[in-house]
Amino acid sequence: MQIVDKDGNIFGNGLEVTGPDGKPKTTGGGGGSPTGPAGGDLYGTYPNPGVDWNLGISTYNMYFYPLTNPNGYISGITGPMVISALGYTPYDSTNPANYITSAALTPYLTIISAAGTYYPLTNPNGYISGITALDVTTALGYTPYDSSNPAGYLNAISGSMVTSALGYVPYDSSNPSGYISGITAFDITTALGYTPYDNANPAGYITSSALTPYLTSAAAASTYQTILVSGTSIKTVNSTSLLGSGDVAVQPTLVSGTNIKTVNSTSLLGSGDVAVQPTLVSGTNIKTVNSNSLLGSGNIAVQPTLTSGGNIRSINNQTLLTSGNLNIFQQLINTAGSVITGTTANSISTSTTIASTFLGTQSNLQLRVKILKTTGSSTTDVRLYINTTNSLSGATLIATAQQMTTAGSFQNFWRDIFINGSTMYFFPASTAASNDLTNYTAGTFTIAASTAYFFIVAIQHGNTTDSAQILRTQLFYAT
Amino acid sequence: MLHKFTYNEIEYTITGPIEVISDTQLHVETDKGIILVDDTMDIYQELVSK
Repeated sequence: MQIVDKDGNIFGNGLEVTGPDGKPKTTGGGGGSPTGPAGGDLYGTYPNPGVDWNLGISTYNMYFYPLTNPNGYISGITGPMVISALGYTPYDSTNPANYITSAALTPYLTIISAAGTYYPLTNPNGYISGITALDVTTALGYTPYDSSNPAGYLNAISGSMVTSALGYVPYDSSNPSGYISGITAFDITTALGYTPYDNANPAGYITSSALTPYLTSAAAASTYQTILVSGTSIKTVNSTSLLGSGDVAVQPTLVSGTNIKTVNSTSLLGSGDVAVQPTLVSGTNIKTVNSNSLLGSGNIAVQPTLTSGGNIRSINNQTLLTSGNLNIFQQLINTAGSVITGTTANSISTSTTIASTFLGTQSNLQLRVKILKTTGSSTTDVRLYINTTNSLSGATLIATAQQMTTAGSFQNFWRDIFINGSTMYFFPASTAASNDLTNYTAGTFTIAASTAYFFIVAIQHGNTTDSAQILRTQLFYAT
Repeated sequence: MLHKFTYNEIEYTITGPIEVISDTQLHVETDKGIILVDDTMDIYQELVSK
């Protein structure tokens, strides 16, 4: 019987079935049934050999394929199959170059730590190769005596050792008593405590240079004050000498606000002038009240505080107190006119100049003329003109009163005039009427700026025997 | 007809009728209002002679 291993090696002899009964025979047999002893894995003899299952090579790998996969085809490849086939674990796709990470170094020693941990292979036991004096001293903890002088005896004494042992410098052998060998000038001066005269000036005369720190009498007199004599060369204080010891009772130092008063919080101490009000002189540096001096004692009668409606009237319930203008009509003209008679010429009865202040824009002018025709029955005309001169020549007619013919007749001749900008508006100038309380086409006149005008009331009669008079002419102004 | 005249450096233009109000006085309607012109003014004679 033939067996094929995984590597394709064939072991044993094959069987050939040729017989009509389906029995096997060996391949080397002829056309009939096999005869003789069986071989291979068969035992016994043909035609009925037995199979010895225990024969064969024990190392053979024997495969028995399942009936579902009689050929033993593999259905897949696993990692372990690949590793088994390769004989080692291949790199995976995440680290195809198989780099190691720092974690892989954990089991490794650095060169330094290795050197500190292990002895080199040349001296695996770390034996020392020699001992120095320092090693010995270090090992002992002190410096030992050497073998030549193990007890550490001194072998010489120096001068300094002797001096140190004595605590002072001893005399040496050449002068064990310490006698001095000579005397210097310094020694003498030190011994005397002062510098003695020398032989060059045994008498100790001083030279002129020695006088340098001294003053002559003249220099001293010009430098220093002579000795003070109280009452002679130095004054006394309240007959008390300033010389000698002890305290002289004087006024203590003044401290403003403490022991000397101030003036209006200003100190009186120090230099300069303290500004204070000069002595008041009535009428000179202080006013009087109604010629009465404010100086002196007593009361000055003055007007009490005004209280609107209390001790001062009001105007149409408007107080006259407080600042600003009280807008009421102001009387600019209040005069009587002269009697006009004996002429038929247009003649001035009264005229008054009006300042430009009252002829500005928004000025309201109220003319009130009281006319009395006293005599005659002819016509009497009263007219109002304005002119920059007190003359009818070139004057501009502003208003005409109702014509009067009856003696004893009286007329209130009224006109309200308004100025807007520089234009004066009024009832038609030549229309005769007592008042202007009606609708009308206004007459106009242009006011020259900053110019005063005369308001002229003229009377003209139709007959020289007529007579008339302006009893009162009034002109009121308001804005 | 005279249309303009000057008095006290003011020029007047006559715009309306001239009214005789007395033997020596006129009322002249001008662009500056009704002006009284009397015989003391140079224009008076010129106006009354027309």
